[in-house]
Amino acid sequence: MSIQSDHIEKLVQRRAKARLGGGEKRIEAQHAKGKKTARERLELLLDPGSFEEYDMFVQHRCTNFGMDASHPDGDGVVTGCGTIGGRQVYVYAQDFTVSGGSLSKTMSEKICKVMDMARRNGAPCIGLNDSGGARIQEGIDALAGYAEIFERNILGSGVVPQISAIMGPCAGGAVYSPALTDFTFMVKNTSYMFLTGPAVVKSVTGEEVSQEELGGASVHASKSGVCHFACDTEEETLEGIKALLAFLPQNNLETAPLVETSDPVNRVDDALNSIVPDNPNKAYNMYAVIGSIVDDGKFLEVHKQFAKNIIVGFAHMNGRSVGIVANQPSELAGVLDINASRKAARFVRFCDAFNIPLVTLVDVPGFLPGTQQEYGAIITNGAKLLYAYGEATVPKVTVTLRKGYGGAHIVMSCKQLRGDINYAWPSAEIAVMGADGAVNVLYAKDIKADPEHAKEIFEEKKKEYTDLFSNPYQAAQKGYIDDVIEPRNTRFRVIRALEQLAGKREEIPAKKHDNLPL
Amino acid sequence: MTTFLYSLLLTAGGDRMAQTDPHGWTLTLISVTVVFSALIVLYFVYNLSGNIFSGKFKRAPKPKKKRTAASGESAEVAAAIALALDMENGGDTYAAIATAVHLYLNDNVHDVEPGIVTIARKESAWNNKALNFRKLPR
Repeated sequence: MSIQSDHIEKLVQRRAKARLGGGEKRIEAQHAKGKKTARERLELLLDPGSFEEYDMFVQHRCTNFGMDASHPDGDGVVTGCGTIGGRQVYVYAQDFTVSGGSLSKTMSEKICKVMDMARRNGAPCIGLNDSGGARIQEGIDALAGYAEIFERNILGSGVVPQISAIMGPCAGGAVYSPALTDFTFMVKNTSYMFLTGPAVVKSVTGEEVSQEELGGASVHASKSGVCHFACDTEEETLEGIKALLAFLPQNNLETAPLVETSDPVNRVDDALNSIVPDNPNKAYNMYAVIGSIVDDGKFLEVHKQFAKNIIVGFAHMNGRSVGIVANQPSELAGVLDINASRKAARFVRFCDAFNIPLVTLVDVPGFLPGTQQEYGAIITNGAKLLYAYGEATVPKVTVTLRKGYGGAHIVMSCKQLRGDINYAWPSAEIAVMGADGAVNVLYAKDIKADPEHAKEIFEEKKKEYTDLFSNPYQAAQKGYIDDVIEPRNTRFRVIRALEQLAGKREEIPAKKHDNLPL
Repeated sequence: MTTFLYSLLLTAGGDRMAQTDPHGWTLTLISVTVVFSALIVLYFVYNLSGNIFSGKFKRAPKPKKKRTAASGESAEVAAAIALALDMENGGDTYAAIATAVHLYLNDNVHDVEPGIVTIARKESAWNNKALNFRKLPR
């Protein structure tokens, strides 16, 4: 055998060994927990044969606490570049079979390398997290590694899409990298995220709580909003990432890919003409409206379980990727509260950063009243959504379906927040407040002065107010609404508006950065 | 014998005609009248048959009574249909059919849109996404 052949054989052997990560026993243990290895996950995520691995032979440099006894190739993370649907992505997948996926300085260097490459080459960066946290044996080096990753998350934010998938434990400082990325996926029952685990919680607060209750996928998907997509299995999670990427551009200088569609732009849906109930206090399902106007009724909802009173997600309209924001009248009557404002604000800012036009469907009776909301800073949180819409320079098309009352009307992409095209259905009521409230304020003295005829006075004044303000024509007369449209034509009108706005450009004043009400 | 009498009669008629109209004016006038009358009759016959075959004589449909969204009549008709069907067969299906009829009869006022997008936009320097970026302060 020649020396060259010997070298090649050695290379092949080292590669094979590196691919085994922590060894077959640990791989079996990982499988026994219902989890896949890092490489198996990447195989499912990326186009077959597209993955090019970097830094396969990188080894940790720690010598403390017996760490010098083992130097597995690749350390605890698999990094590289591949394609999803033919589009380039950079990936890193933490390997739990190597030291429980704990983060070493070299691991962070590997991760930072692909993050830098993603940012330089304008391609999304996807991180599959399955790590026990910082590698304690490395001390401050591990923390420095985390900080370097966070800094790259920050630098890449708004430049390339960043997606995290939590496919195992993610605790302590490690949680901040997913929190800094644009979208976080979690696998139910096998993944959890928290800053401090159940043991620490018990010792500090005395509260007994399980891992799943403290930081499971369901909790973060429905209560905290940390998780955008909670999936049942790892396969579903990886498919979810692929589905999401289909709506996103590669970077902030590109637009999302156009998708072929057979759904005609002039498709009318007569059901929309009667979807809004005659009784203004009766709810209807906004999903039906969204499904009716988007291509083939396909809608990828973000934050499905969190703040259900507002719906956000991606769809295609005439093949063009759009971000949909819609109040949901069947949940809390579609009011805006703290969580709904946060959820929608984050989504609007993402769409604005990545040139995805916004379609806003409005039916909002106002902000949720109460001490809980006021103490929780509904003012600041509502301002986030207001700010996000006002700042956004992407095409913004708004359709008011029914209620658009008071401050909530302003927040939901009104004309004066640089809404580009604002439509209203004939059933729209754009006013400072609803008729009941307005009459109670305006005619409180009259009603109080004549209690015998209070009901008649109230009804008479309510009718007067309703005739005058509870329609879209007051706003349309002043140009605050560009047109009143028949509901069944909504799809066509929104698509045509988006086509009109496709070449929009709008400058914002020079500044170092804004001071968003965080 | 018969032939003889007939020729005698003709000869007698011819002689009389020759005596009363020696130049044949009457005979000419009658002949022309007969021919042109026949032509006029034929004209009407062919004209009539032509119209029948070309369908021009189809009975024009009665003008439909205009219904509007505000019309209550169609709702009453639909309700009557529903009631009749329900009494006869007793089923939700008929009620649904009647409702559909009601909706159809009342749902004929629409704001018509052209339904075509004529904009054909191309990427250009104008919509360069970097132009939307915040400018750094100088």
